[in-house]
Amino acid sequence: MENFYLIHLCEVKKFRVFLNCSNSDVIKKFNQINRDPKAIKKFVLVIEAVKANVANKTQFNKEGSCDLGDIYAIKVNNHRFYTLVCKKGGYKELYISRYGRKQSQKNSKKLTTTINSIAKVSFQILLK
Amino acid sequence: MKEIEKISNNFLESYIDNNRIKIDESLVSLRLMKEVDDFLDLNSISQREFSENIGCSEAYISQLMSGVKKFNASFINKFEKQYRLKIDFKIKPSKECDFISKISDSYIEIDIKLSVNIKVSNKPENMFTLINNQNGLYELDTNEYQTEL
Repeated sequence: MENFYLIHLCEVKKFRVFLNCSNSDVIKKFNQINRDPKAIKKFVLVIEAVKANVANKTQFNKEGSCDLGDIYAIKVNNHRFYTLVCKKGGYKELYISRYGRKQSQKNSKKLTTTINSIAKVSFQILLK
Repeated sequence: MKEIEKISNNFLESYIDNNRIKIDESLVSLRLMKEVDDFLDLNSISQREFSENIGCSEAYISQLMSGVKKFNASFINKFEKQYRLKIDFKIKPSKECDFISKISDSYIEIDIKLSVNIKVSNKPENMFTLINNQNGLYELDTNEYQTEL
C-alpha cells in the first residue's frame, strides 16, 4: 500500500493532484524542486497547464497506460515525475507516483520498469 | 514524517495564489504553444528543426513550450512566414456572457445566458419572438441561434 497526499485541489476545474509519500525518490526530488524557484515555476506551470488542458508534450508527455488510467511524465528540466492520470467522480486526478531522470540510452530500461511498476500500485489517500 | 510535514505546508497553493497573474499570462502563451506542438507533431518536425527553420534558438523554443517565456508577434510572424500559415485569432466568450461575440456580413452571433429566463420561439421564417409568460419572465427554447440580418 502506498500513501498519497493531496497537494493541490481545484473545485472549479474539478482537479486534484496527489503525491506519493511512500516513495522516497518522489519526496526527495519534490522537496528539491520546492527549494528551486525556477523549478517550482516550471512544475506549477505544468500542473496549471494540465488543469487548463493546454499542456504540451514538452511539459506533460504520455508514457504509457494501464488499467487504472494513463501514465504521463511531468517534465521539469531533467526531472521526470511519472504520474497516473485518471477520472474519478467527475474529478481529473493526478497521482504523482514515481520519479526518474530524463530518458537516455543508459536508463531507458530502468525507466520502463519504473513506469510499469505504477500499474501495480495500491493507492491509499491520506487527508490533507 | 518530517518529509510529509514539509509537503503539508501548502506550498503549491500559496505559490499559485501569489503568482496567479504571471501563471495566467503563461497559460495564454501555452494555449498557442499547444497548437504549435500539435503542428510539429503532425508534421514530424523536431523542436531543433523548428528552431533552425524559424531562426530562433532551441533553448528559446524550449522555454516557450514550458511556459517560462511567452510568445511575441515576432515569433508568430516567423512561424507564419516559414510554414506559409496564418494563425487565426478569434474572440470567444469563455463562459456565457451578454456580449456580441461575432459580427459578420450576414449575421450577428449573440450568446445568451439560459438563466435569464427569456423565451424565444423559433418561427418557420427564421424569425424569433419573445413570449411573455405569466410571471413576466421569459424562457429560451433554443440553446443557440443565429438571426439573419
